[in-house]
Amino acid sequence: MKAPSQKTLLLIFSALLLLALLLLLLAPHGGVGAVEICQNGQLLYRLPATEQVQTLTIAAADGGYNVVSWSAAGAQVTAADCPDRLCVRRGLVAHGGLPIVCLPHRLSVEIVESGDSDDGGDLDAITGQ
Amino acid sequence: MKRLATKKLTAVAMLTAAALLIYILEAQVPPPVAIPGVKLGLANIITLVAVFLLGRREALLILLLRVFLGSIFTGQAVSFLYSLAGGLCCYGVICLLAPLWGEKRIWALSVCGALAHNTGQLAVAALLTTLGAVFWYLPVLMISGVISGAFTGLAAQYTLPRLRSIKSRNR
Repeated sequence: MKAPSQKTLLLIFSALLLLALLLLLLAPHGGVGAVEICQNGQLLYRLPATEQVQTLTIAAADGGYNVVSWSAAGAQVTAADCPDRLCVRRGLVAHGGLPIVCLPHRLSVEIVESGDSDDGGDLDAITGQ
Repeated sequence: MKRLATKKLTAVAMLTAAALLIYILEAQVPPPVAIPGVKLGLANIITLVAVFLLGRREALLILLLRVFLGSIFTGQAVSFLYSLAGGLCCYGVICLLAPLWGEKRIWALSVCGALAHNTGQLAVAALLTTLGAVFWYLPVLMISGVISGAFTGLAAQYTLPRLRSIKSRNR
């Protein structure tokens, strides 16, 4: 089998790059309707976002913590004691598509855009243990 | 026969040391992008070079040693599984494509390897954290993979001939 030409490869990778960029940009952008906080794959909370900033501290299995705060403007992890603190450094996330993830604590904070809910708009808090 | 084995052992050891050094140094620099998994992966330059310079089995040995010792030296137990998964996926893809694409396309091999690496890490993350949400990171990691893969691949492509000339000089 003949090896693909350099140009072909360049084209394929550029196309892949463009596709990925498109996927990122085309992710739906609305206001923040609610945040879904999951840990270990279980949905812990689904909480509506208001104009006011709300805060919640989530405990991790190994005794660690993540402090999540959110409002209609966006959500962020304001404090955590995980080794890399990538979740905190992520900053404010204003749209869905890329949840804030804390891998050491197995936590994810996902933004549900307003007008995006599948339960007819009634938002409630669900705790799962 | 014995002389050959020692020479190969020394070469593997040197490249392992180089890979470890690169890996540890890169781990000291804080990542510019706050998304887990986005990194340059400079140590893969050694993996790529080793495949063509020493052979696939030796390259695998260097990779496994680097992943294992690297996670010990950087003190991150969590990252060990991710590194291993990513590294093995990367290695697998390189082994598949290298005989087909050859040395002139090491940069492309590296891109495919980087993409495989990131996908493998994402799969492990999804399994370990049982969060399907991590796959939202796929587009970002694809972009990062293409860019970092091309960069490290080019570095390997330019390094290889020079290492070769050193190797052939020391008969």
